[in-house]
Amino acid sequence: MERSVVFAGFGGQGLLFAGQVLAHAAVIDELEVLWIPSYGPEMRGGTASCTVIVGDEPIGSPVVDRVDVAVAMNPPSVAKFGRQVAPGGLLIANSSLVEEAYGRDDVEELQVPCTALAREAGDDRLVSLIALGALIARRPIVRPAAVRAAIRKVVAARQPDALRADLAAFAVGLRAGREPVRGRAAAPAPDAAR
Amino acid sequence: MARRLLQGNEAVLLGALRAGATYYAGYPISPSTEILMRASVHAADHPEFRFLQAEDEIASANAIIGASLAGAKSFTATSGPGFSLMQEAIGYAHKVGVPCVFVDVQRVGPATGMPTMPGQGDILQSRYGSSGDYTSLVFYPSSVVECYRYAVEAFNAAEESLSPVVLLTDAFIAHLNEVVDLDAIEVEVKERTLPALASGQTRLFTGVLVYADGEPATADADEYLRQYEEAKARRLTIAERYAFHEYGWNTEAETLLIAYGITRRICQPLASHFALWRPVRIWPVLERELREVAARHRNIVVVEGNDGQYAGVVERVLRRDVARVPLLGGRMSLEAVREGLARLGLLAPEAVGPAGAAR
Repeated sequence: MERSVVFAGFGGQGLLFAGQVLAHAAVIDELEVLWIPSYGPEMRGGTASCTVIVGDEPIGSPVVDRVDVAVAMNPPSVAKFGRQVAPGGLLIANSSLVEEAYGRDDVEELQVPCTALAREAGDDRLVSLIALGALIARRPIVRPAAVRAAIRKVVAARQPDALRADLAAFAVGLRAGREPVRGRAAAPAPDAAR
Repeated sequence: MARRLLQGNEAVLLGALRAGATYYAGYPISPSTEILMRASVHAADHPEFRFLQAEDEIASANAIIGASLAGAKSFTATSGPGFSLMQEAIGYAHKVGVPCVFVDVQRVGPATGMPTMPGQGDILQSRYGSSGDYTSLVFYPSSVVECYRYAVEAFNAAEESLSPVVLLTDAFIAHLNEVVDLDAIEVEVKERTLPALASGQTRLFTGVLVYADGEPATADADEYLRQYEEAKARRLTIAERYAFHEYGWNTEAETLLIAYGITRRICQPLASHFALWRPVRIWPVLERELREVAARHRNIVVVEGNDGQYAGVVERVLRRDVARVPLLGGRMSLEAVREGLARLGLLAPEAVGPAGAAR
């Protein structure tokens, strides 16, 4: 088994963090894993993406032309990575910012209003953990318990106050992934970088 | 837990610490800056480890030379344009015979170039960057665990050869996170034999050619040759103990791929179609190993992130033409490699599926 996931959006959406959490969860589940960040020199607003490859055997190439799952948090990310999803794969789009379905009929497309859900949960930066929850609900590459343990491990070290909100956001994402919401969310994001 | 996710740059730092490094001087530059940052954190918690963020790369290079002469295993980390600034100091370290380690995390150049994109454009600079003749030892790992191991070996080679050793990596390997178990890595650490300053011995350190008594020898070609040949022979002899390389994949294949650093990893999905030879010791060139392996294959292709820097070396050593697949501008993808091989007529484009996805 080897599965690749790309998380993409604009800098500041916590995508690299979500990828790290997934990677740590894979270590906890005693799987092999790579995590590769890719970013422009800009810290905020520029594109940010990371690729996580999880497998039973040591991973050979860290570079993949196709991915099993793309988590795309804004329209440029959908445009860039939508075509990289392998047939039979999964595209998760942040429907709060992404208005139209990508529309490939050989790929499962899940629209989750991540930004709206993050706002409800109290912090825009939770978007990526919500998306991660949706991902694990649809493609259990690692156990949800492993993700929770990874969040505790990564977040507790840095910001103990954020831990509860992060775990809650992951739970929101899991629920959203099990019961997908199609179409645009009610609240558009006024400050979203496009 | 022993297995942990580790970043390439962090692995370099941990390898340096494992080797017994106690001095770091450097200047921040993408994609090497994590090494400087983690070195500073380590210094804050460990007073025996000294850290300096210098005003520039020239000062950094000279600082680690001074620290080494004072008795510390020392190192710095930079990227292409910073490495260029350090070259004069590197030449001095070669001339005087100073053990230290220069880490060059390569990015696309020249000059500021593409700071976050991986390149391999410093292959020749790592050997010929300074003025004059000298013999460089250069290593280039392909994975996070190798960043750790070959960081240790770089310090070992520095101590044994009494020279500045270069550890090359690239923006991709530097920021790659892989699962490693550092406790499981067995690697020997060579202790320092060079006496430190203030140890009771009188020594003269100077870049100018001098006799053993310190008098200038600036018109004596025989003295130059005596010192040069002795240093060269010592470096080459020591290098033999560090002949790290890899030969494998489909060794019966007609075509041999030569790849190193990140490109060796990118080519992995091609393993059933091609043989692979990978130098880890980039300099001195592993001439004997290369000739033995090359003789078994009809075609040779060098896949590298530059415009043929190592390919030219291979041609010189083998006295035969080799084909090239240059991966330029940070475009490090299997697709780019496949296109290059197809253009050479060595691979049907549809013969190898896309990398990744549900294997």
